[in-house]
Amino acid sequence: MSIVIPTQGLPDLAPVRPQEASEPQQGGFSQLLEQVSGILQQADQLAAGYAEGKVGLTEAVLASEKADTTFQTVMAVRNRALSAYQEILNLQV
Amino acid sequence: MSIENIFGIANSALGAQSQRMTLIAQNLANADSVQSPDGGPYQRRVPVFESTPLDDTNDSGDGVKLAAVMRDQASPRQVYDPSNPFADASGMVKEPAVNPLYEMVDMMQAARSYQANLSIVETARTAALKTIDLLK
Amino acid sequence: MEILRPEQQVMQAALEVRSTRAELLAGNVANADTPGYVARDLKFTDALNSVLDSGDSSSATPEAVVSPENMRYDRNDIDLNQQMAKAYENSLNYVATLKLYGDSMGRLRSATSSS
Repeated sequence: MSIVIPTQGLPDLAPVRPQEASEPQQGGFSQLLEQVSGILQQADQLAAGYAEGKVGLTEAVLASEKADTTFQTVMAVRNRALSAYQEILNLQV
Repeated sequence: MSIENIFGIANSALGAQSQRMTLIAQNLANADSVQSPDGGPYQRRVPVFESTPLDDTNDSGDGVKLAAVMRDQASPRQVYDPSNPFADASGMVKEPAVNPLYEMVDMMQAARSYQANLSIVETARTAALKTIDLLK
Repeated sequence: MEILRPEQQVMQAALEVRSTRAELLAGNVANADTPGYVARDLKFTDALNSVLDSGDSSSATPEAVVSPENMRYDRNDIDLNQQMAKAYENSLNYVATLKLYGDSMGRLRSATSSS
């Protein structure tokens, strides 16, 4: 005999509030950009510091690598967001 | 500007040190020449270096050249050797004032200087290539 | 209009000073056996500030560096090994600054060229 487990039904779905869905994520994204800008700025400052003889080579090079990677990542995210946006635009006939 | 000057400076030194080594080789070859074309025993050759500033400005490096070849005025060594065709009445022969040991040490130092200037050329070349790499 | 950011101007000035210094050190190595020749060098920070203030790459002033401990009978005070070590260090600093400068400019280019 198979044991039948009575279902309890699906839990209530949380209602989607239209305003929240349509507002762009302003706060999060601009904060991210500020962080990225800070990382790039830091890399330039450490590079100039090395040029002056005040900063060690390892520190300056690592900061530059981090900046390059960060920059590439942000660009990738931006490009994906852009192409997704264009896809959505094309959907609306 | 500077990279090209460095090649010129190092090249001038390579030439000068090369000439110095040639003179040392000549000294060694003639260490026993009791007779030379000038009459008398061979006189040791001594190179005299002089710096060659690129221009009047203070911020350029100086090259180097062989300004003169001097004859060592040290008195020849007197050696008693009556059987030597060049012996004088008392059987003394004048040998050149060339110390082969000293010449060998001098040769090693000249070679070391030569090598150092070669390294400068190599370093400048690397820096120049990396500078060109900046261009995309 | 100055397109370079302050940090990039510093790097550019540093490259010019390193280049001038490389020439001086090459001159020292070339004249290691020249009678009466005294080693030349420049004070890096002073030269860097001088180039940044004047905007002129040739305003770095070299000076004669007399080291009494190296002075020989022919009035030459150049220690070949010492000068070679300085030349290598200077070259390393030049190339490292060059690469860092290139990376910085590259990021600036990428930021401005994205469509």
